[in-house]
Amino acid sequence: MRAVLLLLHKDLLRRRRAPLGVLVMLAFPLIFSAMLAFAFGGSETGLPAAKLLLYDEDDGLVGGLIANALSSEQLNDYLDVIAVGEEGVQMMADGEASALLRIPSGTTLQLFEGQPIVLEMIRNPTQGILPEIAEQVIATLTDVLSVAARVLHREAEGLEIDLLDLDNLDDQAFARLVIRIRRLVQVGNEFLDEPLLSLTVVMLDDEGNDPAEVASGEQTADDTIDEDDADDDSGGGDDQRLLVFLFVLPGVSVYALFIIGDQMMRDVLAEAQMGTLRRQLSAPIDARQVIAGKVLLSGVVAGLALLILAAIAFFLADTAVSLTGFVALSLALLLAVSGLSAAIYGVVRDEQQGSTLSSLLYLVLAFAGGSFLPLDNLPAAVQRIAPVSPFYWGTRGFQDLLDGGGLPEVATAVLILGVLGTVLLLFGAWRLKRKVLRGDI
Amino acid sequence: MIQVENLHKRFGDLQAVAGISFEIAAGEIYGLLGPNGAGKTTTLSMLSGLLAPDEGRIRFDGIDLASRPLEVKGMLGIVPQENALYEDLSAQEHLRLWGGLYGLTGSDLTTAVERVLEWIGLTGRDREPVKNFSGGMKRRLNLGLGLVHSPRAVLLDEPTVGIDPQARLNILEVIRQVADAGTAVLYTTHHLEEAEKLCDRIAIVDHGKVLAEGRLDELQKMVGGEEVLTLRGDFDSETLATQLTDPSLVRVLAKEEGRLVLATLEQDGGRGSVDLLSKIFALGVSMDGVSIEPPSLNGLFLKLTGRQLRD
Ligand SMILES: Nc1ncnc2c1ncn2[C@@H]1O[C@H](COP(=O)(O)OP(=O)(O)O)[C@@H](O)[C@H]1O
Ligand SMILES: [Mg+2]
Repeated sequence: MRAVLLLLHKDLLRRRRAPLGVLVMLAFPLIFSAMLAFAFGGSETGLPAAKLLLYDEDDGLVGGLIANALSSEQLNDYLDVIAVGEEGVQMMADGEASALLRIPSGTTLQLFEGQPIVLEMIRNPTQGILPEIAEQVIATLTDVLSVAARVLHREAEGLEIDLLDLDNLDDQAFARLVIRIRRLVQVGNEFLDEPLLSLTVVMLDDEGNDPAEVASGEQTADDTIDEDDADDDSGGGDDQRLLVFLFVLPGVSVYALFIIGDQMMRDVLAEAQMGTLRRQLSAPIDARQVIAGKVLLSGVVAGLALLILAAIAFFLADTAVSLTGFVALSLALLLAVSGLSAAIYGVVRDEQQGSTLSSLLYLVLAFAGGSFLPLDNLPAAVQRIAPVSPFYWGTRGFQDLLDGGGLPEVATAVLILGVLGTVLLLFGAWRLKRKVLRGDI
Repeated sequence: MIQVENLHKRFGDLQAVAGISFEIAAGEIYGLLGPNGAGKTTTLSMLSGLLAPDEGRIRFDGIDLASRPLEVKGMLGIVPQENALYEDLSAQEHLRLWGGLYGLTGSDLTTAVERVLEWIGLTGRDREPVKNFSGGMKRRLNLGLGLVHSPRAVLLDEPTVGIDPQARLNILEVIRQVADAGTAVLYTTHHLEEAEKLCDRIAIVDHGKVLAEGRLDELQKMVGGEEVLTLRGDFDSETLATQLTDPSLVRVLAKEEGRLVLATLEQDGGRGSVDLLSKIFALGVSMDGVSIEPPSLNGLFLKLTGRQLRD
């Protein structure tokens, strides 16, 4: 135990001397939640549904998925999606719609060829701060899509690699592993793509806010009246934002915790590169203690993040949150977070493989687990497999606590996350030790 | 103190270590001398318990490394070939961490840290982050981290590579001091002069095998009076070798395109080389260069492998 604490002390000193990474991680859930709140909140107080023109030149998989996602029930209040052709551009010029999303021809093809994808958006001329957010979201979406596309592209080349041979994980085998994970959680073809596109939804909703201003006097009478209402009642918009903020906070926090666990565990491979991992393992300590040190490190950083989030929830939400429930769930989540990361980094060949795999996997699991969008809005197939994702239990647990639940209400989540985490941690430590003994690190 | 029997390690198709055995007594400095890729680091990794041997046995003080790894690791000090340091931490923090990991606490730890700082000449600079350090200072700290817990055996992997002569001298002095205090030292290097100067016994290794082993004077005896000639030029090695081979006079150590390495057997006063050279000139061979290696360890290495140590 003393060795573990010494290793923790060393890592904390290192973080304190170079704190930027940790600060970014601590700020991430707040910024992200605020972004979602800003985007989703504040527009429902009587504003008309934004009229969105969907100009699908591509007419392929991507367009279909986007149209599908945009027409989901949850978005009905916000968006009125109309499929258009070339005439859509003129409609925009005439101020007849809030925004136009153009999916250029060849987009689906590009996706399969492994090229990054840029979706085009035409907004009404008057712009507030929201387009800035929209742009950020587009950038994120594009990043994610290009990772997926790269993976798909590799598969398209028809590589035949035995996936089960985890010890010889070259790039190609790795690509197939990623694909298989996608498939595993995909269940059908819609799953991964739909969540990806839900990021687009956030963006389109931002757009929905803009035209309300532009539309004054030019739009139909109904729109104008509603818009005036909204202007009179800006306080209602803030309340709405707050509600959305609190609503997305648990899911985003769980996601942030996984990112923290990932970063801290990734340090094992960074230390392998620096030679300090070998040095640690040549001392009379074993791989499990090294991993345990990183778990505690994640615990400290994640603990800080949770404290901040708990404080915010405490001030913004009216309900008192159960302390025992919160602590138990946080600890179990910490085990799950560290365990998943340790397992990933124990299997991959190097840091880069690990970060690609983990970012894709976490994104998929977070969406499947309902961390970003309420489960009710996800396809039935996804809802059925959601409990497989540790994100599901974490998100649900925090939501239950915010809704006034206590330890008994989160006991199942605590148990599942705790057991899963412990098993994965042991697996990760075993893999790490084996890697070193075989001379792979 | 250290007993190594018949170590083997293979990486894929490459046999990195092919049956290395040796013993090192307490207080002895044992050198593994060999060119890059000889298998020195691989051998050391197996001795540190980091790498599992395919075959063979390692014991420290009679305790088997494979069966009681943590106990053995606690007795060892390791100095890796590449510096393994945290840029943001100070020398003091490094030494306290490693001392602590080997079980030192309280005033024992403090005393040990001060002692090592003095040895490696970093007293007074011990609270600065390592990123401010020069290459030589980092190298010295890298050494110090393997010594802080007063190990019974120290394994050093080319600890003087890439540093100035001053720092090198300091490092060699520290190692001598540690050995004189009764520690068994395994020292790997590809520097002949270092091995000659520092080591009590030397094993010459190449391609994962020990080619020769002994005290410096024993090895020098093996060199005998033989001189080693390396001929370079635009000639056919095969033909030239057959033309020259008078088994009583000369042995062929290596022959490749445009390069021939020969050893002349003992003749009084180095006559062998002179005779051989006159014979070569008489044959009218077109030659770009000749080098003659007088009897030395380098000559021995050349003799054993047909290669220069620093090829
Ligand atoms: N982890 C490894 N995987 C594959 N080959 C290795 C590994 N470590 C060393 N080798 C190879 O084994 C041989 C011996 O290397 P090494 O022990 O580092 O030699 P030295 O330390 O004497 O320079 C080299 O050919 C090297 O490329
Ligand atoms: Mg080496």
